[in-house]
Amino acid sequence: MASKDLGIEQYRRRQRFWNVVESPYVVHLVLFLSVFFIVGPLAWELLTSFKTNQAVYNLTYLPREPTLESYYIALFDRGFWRAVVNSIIIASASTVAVMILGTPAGYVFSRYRFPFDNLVFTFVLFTRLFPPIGLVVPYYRIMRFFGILNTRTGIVIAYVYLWLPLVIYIMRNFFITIPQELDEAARVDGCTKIQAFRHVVFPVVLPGFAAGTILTFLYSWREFLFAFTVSTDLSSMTIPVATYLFVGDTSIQWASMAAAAVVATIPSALVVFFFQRYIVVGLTGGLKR
Amino acid sequence: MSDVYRRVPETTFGRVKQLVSEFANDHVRLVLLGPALVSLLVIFIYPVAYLVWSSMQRTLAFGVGAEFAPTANYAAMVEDPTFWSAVEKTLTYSFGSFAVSMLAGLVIALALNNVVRKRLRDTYTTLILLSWAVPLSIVGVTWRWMFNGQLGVVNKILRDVGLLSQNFSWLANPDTAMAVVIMADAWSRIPFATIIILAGLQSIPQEMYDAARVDGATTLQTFRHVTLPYLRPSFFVAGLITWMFAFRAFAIPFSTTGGGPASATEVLAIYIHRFGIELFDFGFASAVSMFLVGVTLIVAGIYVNVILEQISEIEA
Amino acid sequence: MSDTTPQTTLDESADVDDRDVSLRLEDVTKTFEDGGGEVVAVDSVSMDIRDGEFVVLVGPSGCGKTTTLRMIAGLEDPTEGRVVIHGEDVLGQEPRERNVAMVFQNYALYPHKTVRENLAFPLAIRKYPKEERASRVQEVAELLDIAELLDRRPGDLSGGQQQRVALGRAIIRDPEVFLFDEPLSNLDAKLRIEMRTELNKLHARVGKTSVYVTHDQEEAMTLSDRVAVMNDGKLQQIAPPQTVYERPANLFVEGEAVRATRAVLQTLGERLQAGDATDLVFGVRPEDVTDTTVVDESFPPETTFDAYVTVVEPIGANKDLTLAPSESAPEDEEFTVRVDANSTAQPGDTVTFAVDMSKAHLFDRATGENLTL
Repeated sequence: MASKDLGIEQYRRRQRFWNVVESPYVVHLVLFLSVFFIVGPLAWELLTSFKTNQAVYNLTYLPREPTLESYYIALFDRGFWRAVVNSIIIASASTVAVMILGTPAGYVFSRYRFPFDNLVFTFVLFTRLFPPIGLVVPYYRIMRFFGILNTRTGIVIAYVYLWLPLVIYIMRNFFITIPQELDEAARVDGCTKIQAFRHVVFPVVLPGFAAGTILTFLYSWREFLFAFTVSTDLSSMTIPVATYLFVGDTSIQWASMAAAAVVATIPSALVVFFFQRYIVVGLTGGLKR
Repeated sequence: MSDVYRRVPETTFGRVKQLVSEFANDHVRLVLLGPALVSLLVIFIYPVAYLVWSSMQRTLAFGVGAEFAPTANYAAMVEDPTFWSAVEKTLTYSFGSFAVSMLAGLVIALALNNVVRKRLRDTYTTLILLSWAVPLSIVGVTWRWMFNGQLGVVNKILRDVGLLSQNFSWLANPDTAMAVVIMADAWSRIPFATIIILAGLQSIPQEMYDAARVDGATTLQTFRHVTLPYLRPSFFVAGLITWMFAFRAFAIPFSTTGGGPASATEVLAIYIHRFGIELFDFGFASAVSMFLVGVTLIVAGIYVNVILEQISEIEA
Repeated sequence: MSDTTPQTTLDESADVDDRDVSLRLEDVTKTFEDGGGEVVAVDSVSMDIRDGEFVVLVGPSGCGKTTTLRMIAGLEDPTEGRVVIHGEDVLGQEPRERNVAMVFQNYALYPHKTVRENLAFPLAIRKYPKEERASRVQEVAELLDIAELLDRRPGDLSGGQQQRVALGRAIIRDPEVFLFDEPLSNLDAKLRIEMRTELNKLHARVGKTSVYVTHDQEEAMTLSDRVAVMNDGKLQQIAPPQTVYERPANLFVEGEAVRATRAVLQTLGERLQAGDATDLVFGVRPEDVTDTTVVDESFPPETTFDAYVTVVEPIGANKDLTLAPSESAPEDEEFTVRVDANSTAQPGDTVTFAVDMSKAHLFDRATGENLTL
């Protein structure tokens, strides 16, 4: 039939066009451009950081005489190495606290019914979605009242508020994927409920736990709002805050700021490089299923 | 033999240990969930109550003392044109970032899904994830630096390829400043959107594509009738989260422009920070916070409903 | 018998001496909250299970058999009633205090532990000495022929091998009672039959009290000393398999065959029993029907009926015929009979069939009770 032939002809013509769109060349071109857009700004910071603060004014793409002088200025003249230490301490401490509190809580939500359980879980979700900026002023004043402004403790407390609900939610999702039969088998085999969690379910959820840990660490590392509100004092401020402080100078030392930015980004980048798969699992595990 | 597990501990320590473990077993929910919930109550409910309370206090000069005036701050907020201007900027900012990051996320996810080799796909994913992991203030200062009018690399490139004859002050012009901030924000959000959308794409069974091909669908038709319907839930969740978090964004606009020029990029979060932390007008800042919280709760309500629906699907 | 054993009429072997009872359920009831309403999952079930006996709980999904098993294990608390293991009321005891072992539907092997660690886990958690653990693991592994798998992880094992490990983990502790929750349902047909035989052998060797849940009739018949048929949370009958098969206590136990043959055989029922036939249901198993045309034998006319053949399915030694009362009968009046393979019936034929009246039963329509017992 003529009309049918026409249909097939049309199909072929269209499909030829889409075959081009879907071809590896186009796919890789799109990805290459995307990667350039993502990595470009970081590369520019890296290049800038190897210039001196004066060389920046030469407007060259590449540093003419690559030097670590800007790093020295940022880390030692300004003493921002202490901010790096603070960041490591704060991110680690809050990650540990959040995982210790959040993992068992997620387990309970995945396994047990109790009065108002849905309501409590909804509360956790809302806590997660509550805009932190709304709590900045109360936190600032409460911390001033308790005298923990400009302390690492203050920032860690804020981070427990920020990430605990998220971790409870993510861990609950991970625990749900583990069949309840496993807990029951453990209990019949002689475990108490706590032992079943410790000896059987927890080891099985370990990859999810790792994802939660990595995610919490990264979130803590990159946070700015609370870190900035609680502390701009060298004894307790984080490296993202320290980097931002360059902006306040009358004449911005662009190269040193870039050096500080690179220092602040390196741990993040390393975590992404080594644990990419866990981050993907964590990000999606926290949303779907 | 079978009584091995019912031994009575001999030492006092052993007996105490057994009592503790019996208690933990009988109150397993309390023991495992209690600490987390109590912490959340203390570090969340207390500040929230404080927020509500302080939004009803009129702050006296320099933040020293306050008097009870339940509606004064809200009234001042509604009458203040700078507040509405901040709302408008927040909407522009959040929808701008939402549109850019979701569109880019969709395109990148579709492309990634077409990369056959797993190693290569992982490499691309890693590189694209980078901008998500960068500390938020670093995102800001980086874009501030790139778009610097005098020394910025963007101006240099544009001049070198002949698109600009002289430097343009991107961050001094209200419109371009907003555009730069939106791009910076989207830059940091694209990876998240990509990952969620990609997960949605990967959940589509290959059978569906095979069936569509056998039925003679073109790629576009397959996309419309197979990919999109399957993608809708994850696209919805990614979009909602992206928008909601852009709506409350502070770090990126603050460190890119500080709200300037004038207050051209002063979104609500910066507005709140300025009044609450810099100007010590806690009451007014709290009232604006309450507005932001209200909007978020409505959107979050939709999101939570979707999540709870998914939960009931799991339980069914 | 006293009224503490209300199942007497259904229980052919109720002469159980109390001292032999290994596991006793007394009026066990379980209700679940279901969004405001209450659902009765298990309704006043009582049974005595002798030491070393193998009892199979069978019934359709949702009949309460798994819930019953879980209450024995202690994973679920009964709403009412008692569970007694070896004379001890175990109500309120944790599973670990009950000295039972359980094999789960999906094996529930610990994926992060090796087979050896899986087997040893029930001993390790009870702090058995190391040497004893090792020797018992070896013993059990040899018994189940999994000695060469000891250092692998469950993920690397086939379904049948995982099944063996799960069995091993159950027997290693030498518990009082074994509980099985549809353990063979995830295996393919061939392996299922192999494992069934193996379970029979194992039970013969170990000889422990076992309660086994399945929805598979054949499994119930081949494995059990006694079959306990459950429906709607209630125990319908508990008796040796042959008794359940030949003398079903009620309509439900009779099962499939009845529902299908009811319509056409109603007339036979009327002939058989002079009473008000509308209150009765006539039941006969598909295989107790004969195609008279290929049998050189005469049948009393009151045992025969004519039916229209719609489908013929040869299944080896037999043929399954789908019949209808007449050519124009609606589809829901169709039923299936199983006749000898030499039947020549073709779709579209009308054939005379005969019923083996000695194997037919009459049931009360209202209560479902078998009146011909």
